[in-house]
Amino acid sequence: MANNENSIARQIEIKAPVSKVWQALTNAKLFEQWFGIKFNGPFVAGKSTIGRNTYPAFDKFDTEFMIKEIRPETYFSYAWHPYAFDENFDYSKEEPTLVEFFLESSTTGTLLKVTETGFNKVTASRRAEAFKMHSGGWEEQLKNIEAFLVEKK
Amino acid sequence: MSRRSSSEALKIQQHADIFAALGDPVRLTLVAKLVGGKPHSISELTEGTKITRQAVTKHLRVLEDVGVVESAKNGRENLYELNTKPFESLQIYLDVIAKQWDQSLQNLKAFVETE
Repeated sequence: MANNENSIARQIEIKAPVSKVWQALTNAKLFEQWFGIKFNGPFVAGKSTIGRNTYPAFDKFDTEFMIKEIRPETYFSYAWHPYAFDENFDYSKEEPTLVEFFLESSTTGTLLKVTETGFNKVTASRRAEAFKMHSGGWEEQLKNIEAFLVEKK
Repeated sequence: MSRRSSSEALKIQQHADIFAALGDPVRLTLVAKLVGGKPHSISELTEGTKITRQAVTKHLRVLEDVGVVESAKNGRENLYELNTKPFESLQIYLDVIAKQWDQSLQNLKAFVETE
């Protein structure tokens, strides 16, 4: 799926029933396990929960998940500030982006679509920062590649 | 072709060039080393790797050509620095976040399917 000017759209086929995917998405305890985060409470529509990143480089940073809507087994949405990892920046003044999950049953199990919208409000300097954060993640992976290549020699 | 669409095409080409330049493990390693913001010399960038000084120089030139890395003379040696300007582009930002989502969705898939 292509990204247009200010949104991202992605989808994936999962070989599991919709109910199981739904649980993994909307049960905060399960969400934690595949997303790499630790929440201080469950997901409740209209309420916020704070998530602490569990990746070693970013484990000092909290991300607020503002839960918007939960429609059983079909739709789940929240707003957040992506890559809000600068301690000296007040993200509360920035417009958050909206993340939406759409679930559909398919022949093989579940078709899950995710969209993230509202990026036109994110400032240019914040975009550059997001790239740096991503590079930080690469660094770890590259170390593994490097170790692998060195061993092979 | 209108002026607008040709400038769009040029932009897309620039983005493709940046991604092509980054699509190499050695160059990605160099970028990762420069992410800290501090300028590095070629010797520093070569240190601890199995890559020759010459190869590092060649890879840095590729990164310089697409504007991801900038260099400045410091006495006898060149110092290399990351230039994050190209990544301020909205399209590249979205590509980076989209890649992050691809990774998260793969994690979710693996989690649900093996549970």
